[in-house]
Amino acid sequence: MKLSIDQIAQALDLPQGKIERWIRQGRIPLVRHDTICTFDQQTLERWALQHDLKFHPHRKPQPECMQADDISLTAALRNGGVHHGVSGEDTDAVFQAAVERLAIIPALSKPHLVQKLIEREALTSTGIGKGVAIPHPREPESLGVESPAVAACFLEAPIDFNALDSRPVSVMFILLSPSVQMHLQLLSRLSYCLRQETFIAFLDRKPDETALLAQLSQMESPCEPSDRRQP
Amino acid sequence: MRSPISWRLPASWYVFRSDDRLLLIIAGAMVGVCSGVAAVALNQALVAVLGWLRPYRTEAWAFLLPALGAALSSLFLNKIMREGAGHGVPEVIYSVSRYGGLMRFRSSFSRLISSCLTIGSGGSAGPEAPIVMSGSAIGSNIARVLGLNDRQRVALVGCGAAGAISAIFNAPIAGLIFAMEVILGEWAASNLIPIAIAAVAGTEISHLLQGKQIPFSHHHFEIGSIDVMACIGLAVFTALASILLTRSIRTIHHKADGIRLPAWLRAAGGGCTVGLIGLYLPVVLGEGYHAIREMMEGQFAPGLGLVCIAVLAKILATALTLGSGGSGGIFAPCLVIGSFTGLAYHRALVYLWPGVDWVQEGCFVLLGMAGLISGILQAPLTGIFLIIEITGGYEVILPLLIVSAISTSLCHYFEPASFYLKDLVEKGQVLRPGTDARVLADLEVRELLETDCITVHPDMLLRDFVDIVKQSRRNLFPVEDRQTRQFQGVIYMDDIRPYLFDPLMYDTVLVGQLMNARVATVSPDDDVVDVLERMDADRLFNMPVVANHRFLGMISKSTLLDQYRKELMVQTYHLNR
Repeated sequence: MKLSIDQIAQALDLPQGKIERWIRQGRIPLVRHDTICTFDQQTLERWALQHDLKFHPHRKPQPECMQADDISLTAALRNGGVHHGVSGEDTDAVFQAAVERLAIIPALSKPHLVQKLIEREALTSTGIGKGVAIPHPREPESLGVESPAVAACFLEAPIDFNALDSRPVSVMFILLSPSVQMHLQLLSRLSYCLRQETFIAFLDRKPDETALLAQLSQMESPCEPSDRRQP
Repeated sequence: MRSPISWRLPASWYVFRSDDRLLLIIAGAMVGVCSGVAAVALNQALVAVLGWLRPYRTEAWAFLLPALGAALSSLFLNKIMREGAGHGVPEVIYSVSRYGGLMRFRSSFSRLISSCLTIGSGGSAGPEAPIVMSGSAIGSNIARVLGLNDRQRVALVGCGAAGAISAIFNAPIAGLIFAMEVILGEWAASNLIPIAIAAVAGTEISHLLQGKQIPFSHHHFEIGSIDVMACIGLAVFTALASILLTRSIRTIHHKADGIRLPAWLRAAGGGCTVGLIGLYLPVVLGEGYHAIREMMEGQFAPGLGLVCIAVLAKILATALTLGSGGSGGIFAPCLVIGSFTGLAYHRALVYLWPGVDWVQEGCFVLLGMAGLISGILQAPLTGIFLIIEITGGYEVILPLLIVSAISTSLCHYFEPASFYLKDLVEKGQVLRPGTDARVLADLEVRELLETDCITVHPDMLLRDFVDIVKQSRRNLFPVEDRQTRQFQGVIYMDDIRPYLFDPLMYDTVLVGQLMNARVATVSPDDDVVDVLERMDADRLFNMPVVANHRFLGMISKSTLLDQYRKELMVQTYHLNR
């Protein structure tokens, strides 16, 4: 297996300088060629276990600050995209069709994501009323998405989501985030928007991407982060 | 087309990647052979030089020979090789503990030549340390050619030292133990095997090149219980001699350093004095194996008084040779002084209690050597195994253990660090594996940086600052200038808690008024040991790391503990297996 040093540092949750030093000192079973390290995954996992460390090749860097206000719904929606005419008879089929269109999810992970969405849906409906559903996987970090994404999917025909108000759902916001924290923040922002009757009415008109983004950024603007800089 | 295998760096071959034992064994054998060759080369060169100079020994100006040798050797080391004088072994230990065993290629032959000049001309020094240094440097350079990492390189440096001692004394186990006990300072199984292989290779190459010609022949001793009792007294004397030797070398070294003369002139002065002593007591000259051999055979003619003087004269000659800048080790002089001490002690016993059936002189000569080696090196195992292997018998083991143990403990009482480590301990550079100093030396401030602090500006209102406090997980906030981004100070939550809940102050107080501008800062290049000391002295838990007036992050004891523990586990895992 080959990974770059910073990826290994992330996977072991250690500073990069430490990994470089350990390679030089021969304390870690890695062979280095410039910035790329070659290693046997099993050997490294065993080594990590022996030294009370954990090796997760897909661990993402810890957010350095509470980036509470930095996740804007607009940016997330830009990541996820706006999809029209998503078709399907039932929730499973709709999820399948919607996930197929998500560009940020690698093709290999798509069945996994669909499975996760179905599992979550089986728990309780994510149809929150007024014809809107917010399907999402329960453990968002297991997907390995790098930045939060919201995909707005306008269904071809409304389908029954077993929603709270029993109204069929015509628009889904699929929430994908790298951490539970971000998920909650996205959810809070989305629910703020969905509480506005004007926004629901706006959604009923099935706006295109530009219009939706413009509307969201206009709604979000009062709570945009003020002058604040990360170290 | 690129070759799938990089021939230059075998360390990255698939077979060696997960388990490098085979690689180390092969490389260890190579290193052992090379350092064995170095040992034989120096030995033969010494024999040749001594042979050439023998006719001149009787001349009246013969006392100038050691001066000439010492001056040449000093010039060679300082001007041509540009390496400092010294015995060699401390340099090897220093490179192992500080630089992962990195040594220069020229070290693999420079000491051989300079010590050949010093010893061959009559200086009182030993060829062992130079050979150990050459062997270690060969090991280090072979490791570099093979592209090995620090751990593997250190093992090969140990291989070089083991091969050298094994080849000189025809004593593979002593070589192995010397490398582990003195050079590496840890008993790790992963190092043991290549070093053992190197010791065998060194011994074999020495057999091959110069036959089973060994410094000292085997003897059989009948040791009674009274001899064992008498050993306790011998241990006291060997310990005294060890302390005297250590202190006199260091004293003369410091004195000589104070003299404002070129290094080669100082070395010449020392050599000249040694030559003068040698006029009256020729036995102090050179490495002295010949005298040891005579004493072990019981053929050493001079009486008790002369032997006692010889002990002191040899100590003085060694201190003068090494202290003034000559090149060579203290191993052989130790053996000579030890054998003189043992001989003197035995003769005194015989003189005091002529009726008792004492063991032969040779036995006490051996024990004296073990006592000196154990005392000076504070490495009892090296002393014990060296003497056992030299004598080839186990009958001496009881008195040997007693002498070594007591001599080591007594010396340790007066001189807490061994001769080799003394300078390094004074400089704080002995970093034995698995120790606190080693772990802290390896950790760097950069690895401990915490970058999850939110930076604020001095012209910010308290109201804005309160918003930031809401998001932060930390209870301190670095302050930096908005334009220049220079670090100005830190706001500690504890200091400002009273104002935080007072909305009246929100629009009247600026962040700059709340901050603590007089915070002790750390530079990213600081030693973690120093940082910890400062934290302890001022009872701090956090310190800001600042470089070029820019804030980089915080360093805190909690992260330090976290990383310290990880480092300790990684460094000591192989020791506790």
